[in-house]
Amino acid sequence: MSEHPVGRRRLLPAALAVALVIVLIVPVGSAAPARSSGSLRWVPDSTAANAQVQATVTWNGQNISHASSAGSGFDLGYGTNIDIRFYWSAPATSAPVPVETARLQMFFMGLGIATRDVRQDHPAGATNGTIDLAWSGAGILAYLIEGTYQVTASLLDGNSTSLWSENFYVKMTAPGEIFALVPIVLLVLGVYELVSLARSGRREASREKPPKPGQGASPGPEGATSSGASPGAKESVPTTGKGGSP
Amino acid sequence: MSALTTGAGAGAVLGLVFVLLAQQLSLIVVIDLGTAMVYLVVGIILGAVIGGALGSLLGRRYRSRHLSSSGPTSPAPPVSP
Repeated sequence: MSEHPVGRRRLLPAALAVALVIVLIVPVGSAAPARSSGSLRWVPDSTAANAQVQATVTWNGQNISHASSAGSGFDLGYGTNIDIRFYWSAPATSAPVPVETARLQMFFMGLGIATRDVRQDHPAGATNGTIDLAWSGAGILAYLIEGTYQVTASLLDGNSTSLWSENFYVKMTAPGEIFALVPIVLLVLGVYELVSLARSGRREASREKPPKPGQGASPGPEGATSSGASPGAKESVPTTGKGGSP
Repeated sequence: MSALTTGAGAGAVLGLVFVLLAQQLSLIVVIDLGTAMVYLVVGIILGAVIGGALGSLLGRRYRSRHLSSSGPTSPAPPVSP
């Protein structure tokens, strides 16, 4: 009878941890900054062809190749305005390229959690172009997570086929460096589990009480045996804790 | 629940929390899903093993200490072979 509340108590943090993993693993693209139409400057051409594209992307004026490793990621904090600019061009010998969309996608453990697109309404083949993608910080994600994440900048054609892509890293910082929901929940959960682990011995000892001298081989099913049978034995119970057997 | 299973459960959750917290604090950077799953599973298993061992150890220690401390107060010897 007394195992059910303990089991439920143990199930709660486990369920919380599983829910946290699901929340973190399942893409939360809806919480990410939505697609928007940033300013888009386009150099139109008439012919469309799927040729290889050479591109350079800048993050507030810095080439994203400077953030190609996790240790050198760009800071992406709450309320930070970022100007991302795609410069692309087709090789001189190739035909014009139908670049339609510039995309930034942020990944958490391999799954996309935020996508931001700038799309050209009337795509046409061109030999070069510039696409601006203004990003006003990480939005609601800054309140949820922090840490270092991989971001992929890519250029897509009308069929969402990637014509060019490059990976770089951003380091998300929460408001006040600490006020993100997930690390706080993780810390609270960790402390709870540490306390639970430290008290596991006491919990077992309180579950398996030594046989009291007044009781025989058959323990009474009612709680009245503890009060009426041996008053001396009740005195030794509070050494295990405050709530041994109410 | 015994101390071993309690410790193993707490350790498994702690292993999971440790991996996720390390990622949040940029101690580890996990890029692809396969590596993430490996980290999480290894964290859970290691946490469960270490937590189970710790729980069992704490349970034995607490029991022996509790029995030895309650021995003089109780009129009869608590352990019967």
